[in-house]
Amino acid sequence: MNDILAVQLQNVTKKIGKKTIIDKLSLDILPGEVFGFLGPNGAGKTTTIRMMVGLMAMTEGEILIHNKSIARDFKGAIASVGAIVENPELYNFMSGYRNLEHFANMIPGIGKDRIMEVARQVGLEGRIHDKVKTYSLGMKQRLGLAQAILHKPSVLILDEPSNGLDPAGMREMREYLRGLAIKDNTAVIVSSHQLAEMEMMCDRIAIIQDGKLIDVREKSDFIRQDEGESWFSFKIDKPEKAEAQIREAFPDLRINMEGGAIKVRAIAETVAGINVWLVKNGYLVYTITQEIKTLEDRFLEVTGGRK
Amino acid sequence: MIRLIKNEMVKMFTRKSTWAMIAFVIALTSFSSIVMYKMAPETPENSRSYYEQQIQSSKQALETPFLPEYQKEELKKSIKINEYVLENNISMEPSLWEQVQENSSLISVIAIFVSVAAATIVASEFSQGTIKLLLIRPISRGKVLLSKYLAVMTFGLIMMAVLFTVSVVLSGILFGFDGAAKPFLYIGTEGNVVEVDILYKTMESYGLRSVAIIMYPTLAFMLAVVFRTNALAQGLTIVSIILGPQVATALTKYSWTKYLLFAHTDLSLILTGNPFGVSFTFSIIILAIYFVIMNFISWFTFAKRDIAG
Repeated sequence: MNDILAVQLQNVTKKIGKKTIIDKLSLDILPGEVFGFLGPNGAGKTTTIRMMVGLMAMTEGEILIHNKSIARDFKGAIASVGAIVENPELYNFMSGYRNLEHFANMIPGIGKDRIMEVARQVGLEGRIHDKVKTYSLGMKQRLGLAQAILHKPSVLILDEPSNGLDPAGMREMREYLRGLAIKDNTAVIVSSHQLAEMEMMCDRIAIIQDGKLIDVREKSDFIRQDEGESWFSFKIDKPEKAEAQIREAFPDLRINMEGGAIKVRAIAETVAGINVWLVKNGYLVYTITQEIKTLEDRFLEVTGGRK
Repeated sequence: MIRLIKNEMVKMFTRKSTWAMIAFVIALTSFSSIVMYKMAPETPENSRSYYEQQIQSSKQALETPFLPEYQKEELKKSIKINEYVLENNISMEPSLWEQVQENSSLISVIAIFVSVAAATIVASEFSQGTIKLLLIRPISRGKVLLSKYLAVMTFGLIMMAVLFTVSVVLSGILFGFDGAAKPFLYIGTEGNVVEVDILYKTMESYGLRSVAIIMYPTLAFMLAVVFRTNALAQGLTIVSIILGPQVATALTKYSWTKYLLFAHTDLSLILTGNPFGVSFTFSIIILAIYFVIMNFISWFTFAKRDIAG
C-alpha cells in the first residue's frame, strides 16, 4: 500500500489471442507530475490508457488509482479519473453545453455553474451553445478537455492532447496542464509520439515500444549533458586545412568533419584552448556551438533508431 | 438512474429521425382512419346491401383457383361474420372504437420504429466513438445499458400513446364521439360467431399486440450490442418483423416452429385460434424465455467486452 502514488501499474499484461500487446508493464505515477507515454504508433500507448480507464480488461497484472483497483473497484477508482481516449469524440448533433451537461449528469454534484466555469477555463464560453459539428478540431479538443476536468479529477489522462491544436493552442494547453499539476496536485498523464512536445510538457517520460517499457527517465536526464565532455561544433574558414592541424595539435581528442564544420568532443576548457590556438594560427572563428542532446536523440538511441 | 434515462431521452429527441418517426405514425394513423371513413357505408339503409355485397364478393374470391388454404379460411370467416350481422340485424355502422381497434394493426409499424431507435441508441455510441466517454464514469456498464433500454421502452410507450390518442381524436371527429358501441364479432375456436364489447376488444388488441413493441426492440437492442453496427441490427430486425411471422406461419407443419419467437409476437391470434395450436400460457412462457435470453446476451456482451477502436 502506498498513499503517495496517484497511479500504479503492476505487471500489466494484455494478450489478444496469442499476441502479447502489452508485456509486464510496471510504473508508478506521482501526484503533481506531468507524466508522458512516448512511443511510436502501435507501441501500446493507447491500449495502456484504455486499461487504465477500464475500457479494456487486463490479462494479467493490476492497475491502482489512489490504491483502488480499476478491475475490482471500478467505480471507486474511476471517480478520480478524467480522460480523453484517442480523439475527443463527442455528440456532434448537440451543443457543447448539452454535451457537458450530459456527462455532468453521470457524476453527482456538478451543476450549471461548474459547467460554465469549465467552459470558460478551456476558452469555449463564446461558442458553448453552438452545435459541436460546427467546431474546429482544436475546439473539439478543448471540449474534450472540458468534459475530462468537470469533476476536478486528481488523475487526468489525455491521449495525444495536442492533436489538432495550433502552436498557440498547444502552448496554452501545456501551460494549463502544468498549472493543474502544480496548483491542484493533479497527476497528468499524456501520451504522444511527438518528441518535441513531450520534451516541453513532461516531468517524466516512459518510453514504450512493442508493448514493453524501455525506459523511464526524468526530463532532466534526457537532456542532461554528460559530465565533462560533449560535442562542440566549430565554424571557421578553411576547415579542411584546420582539421589536419588540430589533429596534430590535439592528438587525444575525437575530431569529425560534418557539413563544413569541425566537431570536437572535449570539455569546456579544452574548447577554449582550441579557440585560442585557432585564432593564433590565423583562422577566423565564426561560431562555436555546444551540441545539446535532445529527447529525440535519446529516443532514437534507446529505440535503436527504429521508425 | 433517472438522470441517465433523461440523458438518453435528450439524445434520442435531439435526433431529427425520432421526430420524423413520430410524425410518420401520426400521418399513418390519420390516413388509415380517413380511408376507413371513406370506405364505410354511408347510411344505415345502405348497410344491408353493403354486407350482401361483401358476402357476394367473398364468395367469388373463394372460386379463385390456387388460393392458399389460409386465405380461404379468412374468406370463409368473413362470410360467416357478415351473414351473422344480417341474420341478427346488428347495426354495423362504423364507430369510433371500431376504428381505434382497427388502428391497433399499426402497432407492427411502431414496432419497426421503436426497433430502429433501439438499434440506434446503442450502435450510434460505437459509431460516434462516444462510448469511450460514456463508460469512463463512476457508473457500471450494466446501469448504462439499462438506462438505454428503459429509454427505448419509454419511447415505445410514447409511440403507443401517440397512436392511441390520434386514433381516438381523429376517429371521434370522423365517426362522432357518441357513436353506439356496437359489438366486435369474430369466429371463436369452435367455429361459432362470438360477440364481444368493442371497448374491451380495443383494449385487448392494444395490450396483446404491444408484445411486439417489447420483443422486437429487445431483439434490435441485442443485435446492436453484439454487432455494434446500426445497419445490421436494424436490417435483421426489420426483416424479422416483416417476414418472421409469415415464415413461421408457412412452416407450421413442422412442430419446432412453435418454439420460434415469431410464432408468438402477435398474441391477439390466440383469440381467433393460434395457427400453431398452442395455448396462451405456452406463448407467454416462450416470450418470457426469449426476453430473458436476449437481455442476458445484451448485458453480458456489453459488460464484458473490451472497448477498442
